[in-house]
Amino acid sequence: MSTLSKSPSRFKVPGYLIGPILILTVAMVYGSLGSEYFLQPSSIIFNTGRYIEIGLLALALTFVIINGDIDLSVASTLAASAGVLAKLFSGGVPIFWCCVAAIFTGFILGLINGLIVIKLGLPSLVVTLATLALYRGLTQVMLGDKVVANYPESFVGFDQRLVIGGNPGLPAPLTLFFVAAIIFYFILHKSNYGIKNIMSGSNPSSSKFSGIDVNRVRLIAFTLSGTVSGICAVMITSRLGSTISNVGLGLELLAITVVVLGGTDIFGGRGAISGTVVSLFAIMAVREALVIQDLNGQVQDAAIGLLLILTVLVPRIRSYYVEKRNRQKRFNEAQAKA
Amino acid sequence: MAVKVNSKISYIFKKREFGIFLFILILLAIFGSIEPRFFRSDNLSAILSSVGILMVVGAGQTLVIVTRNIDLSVGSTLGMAAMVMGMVARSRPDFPIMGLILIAMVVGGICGLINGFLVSFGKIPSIIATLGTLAIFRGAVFLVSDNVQIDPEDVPKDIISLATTSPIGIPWLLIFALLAIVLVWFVSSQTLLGKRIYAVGSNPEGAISRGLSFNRITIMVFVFIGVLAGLGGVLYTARYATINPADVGRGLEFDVISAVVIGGTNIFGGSGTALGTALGCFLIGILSNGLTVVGVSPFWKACATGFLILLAVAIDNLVRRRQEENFLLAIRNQRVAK
Amino acid sequence: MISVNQKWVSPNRLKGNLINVLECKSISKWYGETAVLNNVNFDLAQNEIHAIVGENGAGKSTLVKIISGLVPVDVGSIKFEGHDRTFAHIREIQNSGVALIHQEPRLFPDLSVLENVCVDHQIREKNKRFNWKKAEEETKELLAELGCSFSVHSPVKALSVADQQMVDIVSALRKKLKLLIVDEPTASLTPSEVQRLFATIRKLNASGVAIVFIGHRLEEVLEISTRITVLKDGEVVAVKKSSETTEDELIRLMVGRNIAASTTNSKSASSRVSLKVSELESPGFVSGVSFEVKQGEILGIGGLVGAGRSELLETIFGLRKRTAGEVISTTHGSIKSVKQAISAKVALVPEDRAHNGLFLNRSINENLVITNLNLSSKGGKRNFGKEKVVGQELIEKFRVKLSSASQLVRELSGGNQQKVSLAKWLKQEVEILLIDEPSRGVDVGSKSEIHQILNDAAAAGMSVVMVSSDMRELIELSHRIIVMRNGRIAGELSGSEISEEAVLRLASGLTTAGRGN
Repeated sequence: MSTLSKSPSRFKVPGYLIGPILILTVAMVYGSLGSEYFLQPSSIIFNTGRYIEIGLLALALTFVIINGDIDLSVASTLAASAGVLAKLFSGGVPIFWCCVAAIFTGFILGLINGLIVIKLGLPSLVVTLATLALYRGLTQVMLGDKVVANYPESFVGFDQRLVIGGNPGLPAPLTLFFVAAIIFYFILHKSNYGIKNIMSGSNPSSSKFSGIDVNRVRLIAFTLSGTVSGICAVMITSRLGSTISNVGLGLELLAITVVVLGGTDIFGGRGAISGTVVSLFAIMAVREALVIQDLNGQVQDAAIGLLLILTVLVPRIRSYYVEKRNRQKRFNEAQAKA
Repeated sequence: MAVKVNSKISYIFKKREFGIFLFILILLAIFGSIEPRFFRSDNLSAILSSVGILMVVGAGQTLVIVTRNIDLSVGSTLGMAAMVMGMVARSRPDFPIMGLILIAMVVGGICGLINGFLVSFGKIPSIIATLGTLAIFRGAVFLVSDNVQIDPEDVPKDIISLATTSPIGIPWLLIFALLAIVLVWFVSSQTLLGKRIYAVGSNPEGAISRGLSFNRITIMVFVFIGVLAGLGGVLYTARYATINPADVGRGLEFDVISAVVIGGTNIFGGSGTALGTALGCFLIGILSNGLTVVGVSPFWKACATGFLILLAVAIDNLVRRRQEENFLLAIRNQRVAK
Repeated sequence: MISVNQKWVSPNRLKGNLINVLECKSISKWYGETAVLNNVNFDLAQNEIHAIVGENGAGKSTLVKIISGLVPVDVGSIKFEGHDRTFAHIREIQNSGVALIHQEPRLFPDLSVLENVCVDHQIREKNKRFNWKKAEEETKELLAELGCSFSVHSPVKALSVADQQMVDIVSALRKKLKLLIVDEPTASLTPSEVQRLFATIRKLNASGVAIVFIGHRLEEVLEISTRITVLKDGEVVAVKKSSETTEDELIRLMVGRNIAASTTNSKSASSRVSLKVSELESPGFVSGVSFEVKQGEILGIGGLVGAGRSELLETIFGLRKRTAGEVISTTHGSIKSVKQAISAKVALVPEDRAHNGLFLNRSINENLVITNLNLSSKGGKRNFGKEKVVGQELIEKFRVKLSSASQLVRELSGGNQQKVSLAKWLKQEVEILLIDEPSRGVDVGSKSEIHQILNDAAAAGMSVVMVSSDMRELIELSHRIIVMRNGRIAGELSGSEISEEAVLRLASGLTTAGRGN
């Protein structure tokens, strides 16, 4: 056996992408059959504002999940950050500083998540379940049942802006998402932090034995997640043009779905940004295709749920039977030797 | 030495539920003294009603979490069961109540069975499986109901009376809830099956090597919570008299899991009591009601819940860690000394 | 197949014909190319406590797995109570009355003693409720008979290891026990707990349960057993009645080789000290340990399981909390944390490579690169080209056999995995290498390669602190050996003092030769 052979399968599609790509393709075919406007760039692009927010949350969440944790509080962090933005704006602070404050809030809330998990040694599932409530509560306390809506013209409608003009042009949210995806890709796959993150999720004990500061890795992931939630808060406020206390309710579940559908292992140690990106577009395509069929939001979600289960189920069943066959083969070999 | 350790340990364990109980008493005292209206019978009855639904489902969730699983789809299951029952009741007003209740429980059980199979034979982590079925079952509610809600006129009087009539001073709703708790208590403390359920959560590999039927127990536990969620659907209908496809059961899973965690069930499985869960439900119910009655804005409720979860888990963790440290230290010093 | 309804052989039958509970003939087993057991015969009469002794790697654990039915034989036959026995499902094994007690009892920590014992009770008659009261009484009786004083209701996690073992035994008893295998049960027990365990074993034996006892502490083995089988290199070298042999003879039989301390070792290492450990204390594992290591020296650490050797290395490296003592590198100063250790050019190759040394589900290259990021990356940014080069250098230097560097580590053989676990540290300069069981689970070829690597490193000036349970390895490689016992240093051997017997004697507490106590 050679010590280092170039893998002949250099251009093979990684296994975890097969599912999302398949879903994306089928959805696009299905959608275009249902409506001639489906594949037109303008209709795709301008409906995507809200998905981009989920996509950003999912990108940051990918880090948290790969290193073995989970963050259920992303939507509540988003809400609290949006609440701070709205509150400050109502108080007369210039919009720019409100946005900065919102992002900073997200940073702090994410940091708090990390500190509680690490310093108190509590499971991230339970801690972020608690902060999901705590941060949402803070939002409710800040905003009550008021609606803050008088944002300046220059601020609202971010999702309709074009970075490159023309027909169809390149919308701002999509650009932002791609930029973010590239940044996250670099962090996860091309930086030292990234590989430490993956290894910490793959085997925390071996990581410690290898000199990795696992706690620092986790803290950074949580803080990053919170900061991104803060950024999404700015985006969602701009898109909706208003802020109420239940902003972003339920987004965390959709974000987790995107991450897991993209091939990231919920227990950590395995995952890729490319998976999350393709998964987001796949989900987007499925939902839009179903909108054309006039099926409402809940049914769309159900379809996504079904796809999520299938994406996880099929490889597992396959590997179970492969393993069974291997075990039988090994047993037979041992018997033959005797 | 073992005897001394043993009595100390059981003392601490008894303390856990006692601690919650004490906390509840303190809350009652505080709320009652600030606002005597708190103790009025109609207020108390309102508390009991809201707690009831939580308890029924919480009883089932306790066992699920004990087996190191989690069921995020309970809200949708409850909705599905309630909707099917509601539709039957609407189309056949003379359908016997027992039959309706049975239908709800069977629907819930089927949902649970699906979850059980996905987790056991499908080998899908329960957090993902139930994340998927949460959406699938919710979509099913829509499809089945054609997005038409069940109005109070359609609900049989007898069902509604479950929430209002109190045969022995406590509303039927609460009786069902207490029955569920007692059932779980009975199974977990008096039956062999119950011990096996805890064994599976306490040491999954050990369970398999002892010959316990892992898959069968997992499926059973999910079917059980499904049936209870179905019953919860009946109680929900009794309380609110309106079954709206979008709202019914939404967000229930969060409250239930919070109550179970606050009640002392370990998210990593193997331990947890029905009594603890019941107390957790009471705690949440009393807190939420009390805050309103006392005049604190209801927006603080989420904060309070989140804070409670953190407190409960942090205390558990501290106590557990100190126990372990002291104990292991004593043992090992013994060994080295020889 | 064993019929489940076979009854216990009643004690009265002892006086009549003795049935051999177990008859193993010509057992051979291979793992890959290596024969771990070669033509082994093993008989077990009903009234005997039969011990199996041998060094690590002699084949004890494999034989035990075969006897308990967990692993099939490649060649040979097994007769259980006179009937041919084939590889069976766990439940069938349990139901046929065979039970295996491990060092670490496999119980359910959150359940009580009673619940642990009864949890796998097969309800024979339909609709018959399980009678807790009766089970409680039976269990209480059994526990009392075995000299246990803890309550049946205490949660198992609150019990000491010794008590947990008792629970394990009682669980086995409820299944009409015929054959009990105890595997290294005394490692974590105090002397009085050991006596209680032995009393239990004797009682069981007297009631008709055949016992197979595996142990390292020869003094104990002689005390408890009636017959002893000595294994060496996968073969049976002797079967002796316990009353007719001594510890010395057993050691000689187990070892039976004249391994002269290799001549390369007599080349003295430099006299410069590189690492100094003084009065190191880690509660419960390491107590008052002091020693020095010189440049270019291979310091072997011997001792029995549970002596605290691995924990010593982990404490030195900064992974385990220390409550007293110091670790000082002469070039870099005091070491108090993992970070400081690595900056001081100290590396640790752990014993359990699957859980602590490697990332099994990641690629070989990632495993090699994770400790060498500072070489291949710049400013926190990884350079895949350089990483590939680093990986390739290590793979070629250490001759790791693989099909591709992006292969997952878990697909490698044991020997190659161990090479990866070692190689990842050796790319950069290491002054002090702490290595725990260098050749555990490693094939012969890789083993000698690893030994060569260690020798070359020492010759180039590296200090190596090596924990090993493989006597041959320990003797051949070490310039000097310190032997640990119960968290302390029992003695030190150097030069001509070094011999397998000497190490074993110190480890067992037979003599206090050499320095230290």
